[in-house]
Amino acid sequence: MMITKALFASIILTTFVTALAYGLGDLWIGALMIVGMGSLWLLEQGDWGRTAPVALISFIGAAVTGLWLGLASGLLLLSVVLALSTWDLDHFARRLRGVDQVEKAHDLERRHVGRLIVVDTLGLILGGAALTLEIRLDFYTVLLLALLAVLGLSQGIRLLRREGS
Amino acid sequence: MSRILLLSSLICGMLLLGLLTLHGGLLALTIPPLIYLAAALLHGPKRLCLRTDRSLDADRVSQDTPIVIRLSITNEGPALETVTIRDHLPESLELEDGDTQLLTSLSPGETVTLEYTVRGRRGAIDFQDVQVRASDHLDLLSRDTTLPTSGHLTILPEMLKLRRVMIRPLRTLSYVGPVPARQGGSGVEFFGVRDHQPGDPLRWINWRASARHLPELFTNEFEQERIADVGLILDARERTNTKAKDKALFEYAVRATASLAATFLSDGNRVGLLVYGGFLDWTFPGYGKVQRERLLRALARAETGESMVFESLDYIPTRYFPARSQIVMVSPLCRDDLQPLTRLRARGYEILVISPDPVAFEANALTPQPAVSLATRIARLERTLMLRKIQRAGIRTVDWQVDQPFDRTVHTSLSRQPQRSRAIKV
Repeated sequence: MMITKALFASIILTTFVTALAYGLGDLWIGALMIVGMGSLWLLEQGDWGRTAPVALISFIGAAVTGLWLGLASGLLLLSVVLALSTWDLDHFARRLRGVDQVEKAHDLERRHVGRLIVVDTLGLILGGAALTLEIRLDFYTVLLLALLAVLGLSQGIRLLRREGS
Repeated sequence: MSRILLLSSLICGMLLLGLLTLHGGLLALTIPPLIYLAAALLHGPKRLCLRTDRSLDADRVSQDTPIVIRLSITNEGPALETVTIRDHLPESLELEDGDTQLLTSLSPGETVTLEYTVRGRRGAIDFQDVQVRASDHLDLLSRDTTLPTSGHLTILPEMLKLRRVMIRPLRTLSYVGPVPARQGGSGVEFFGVRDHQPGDPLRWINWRASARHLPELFTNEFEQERIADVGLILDARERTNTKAKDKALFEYAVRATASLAATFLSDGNRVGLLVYGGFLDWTFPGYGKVQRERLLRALARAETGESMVFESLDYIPTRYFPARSQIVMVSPLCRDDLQPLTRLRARGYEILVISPDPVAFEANALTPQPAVSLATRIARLERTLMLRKIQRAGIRTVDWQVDQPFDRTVHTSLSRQPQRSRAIKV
């Protein structure tokens, strides 16, 4: 029950923050589209379960576009963090609903939310710091970093998936 | 799409976009998803070391008896943040109470127990493995494993109420029982008259016959009663198994066979069972309660099957059944069965056919329409004709409409004396 309430609150907050960023930039059509997406996420809490990934992509896409358009970057960072949390809570709520019996349900919920708060806080602090810092890189360094990032991430994920299976 | 793949794709996309456009803000936006991913990698399950133990209330029960199943899982490895345990129920079992799935966390050495109650249909059930999925709190990385569990349950067939079934095979065994042995001696039924011998009880002297042939004395003889060999054959051919709605005629045949087995065994006879279907499942003849248990277990695992070889009754292995013994066949019968049954009869077996009526069984499940009515009449005529031909061959038959009590049908049908004197022409 606690998770369901937190999920609804999180969806509303994510929608509000992202729409606010667009509203402050006088992009009302964008804000309306974001409210529409948020409403859809709020209403679709059945067994389909496909809305959450689409909503996460949409909200992060909206944040990236907003940043490109020069909207308030702090609000957009908060929007990404909230979208991520909502996506996580949506999945957790479905997991709880998907099994017949949950033992130590309160404990599981408390620990899950605790972990999420830590991740969100760290994300906000480090993301905020990154938004304020300015480092100049030449083209080749950027290219190298990009390659390293993509290769490292894909290798890491592949390794973990293999171990997991 | 898996969650980790979605998140990784998003991170990669944002990183590439940020680097290609040289937009530092975009790179900053990738930090929260990266931290989320890093937290999952940090706390993901390292290894699964679990032990399962399944216990059942009983390993054999009668149909529709509730059984409590307990499945304990002990964590013998490091702590697991979230564990999903799924115990898959075999199809023939129905969950009555409790849960077969559980989401929990497991500390090292901790044990969780799933307890649930099931009811089931007839069958021999081997419980499947248990599926376990362990993951971190964020459920981004998981480890799945299947844990082997032992557990076997036999659900015995329901038995129908049945009084003694009179049989009269040509050969009996040497122990005293209820089957007329066609031999003079001590018994109840009058058998014949013989010369008086010293030691014969006076009350056995046939005074009327002795008066006619003075000074000779004659003694009454009675028919000996002994036990017999009874071979039960359950027809498990798929072609004879009629299904209507969610019921199968075979289930009725199994119940009838179980009841007959119990009745014959309680009379002291030696009973064997052959399940004739996709393959031959033979239970050696025996006596008493142990044999009853063996037969019920064989009937519990009996299933219909198809086989090119055993499509007709031609391949009933007669060496399983002692010569001139009693064979009781439980079969809905089909057109081709007349010849094999006649041949069996010609070999000297005393045959009793208990035939659950497939025509009535299927007709009851159909919506009454003129076409259905006509088809039922034609099928009924064909069946009646076939049963008459079988009876003419000296085989006793019981045409059992399964919505009627089995006991009453058997005793009504068998109240007439068997036609033993019919000539057999193969």
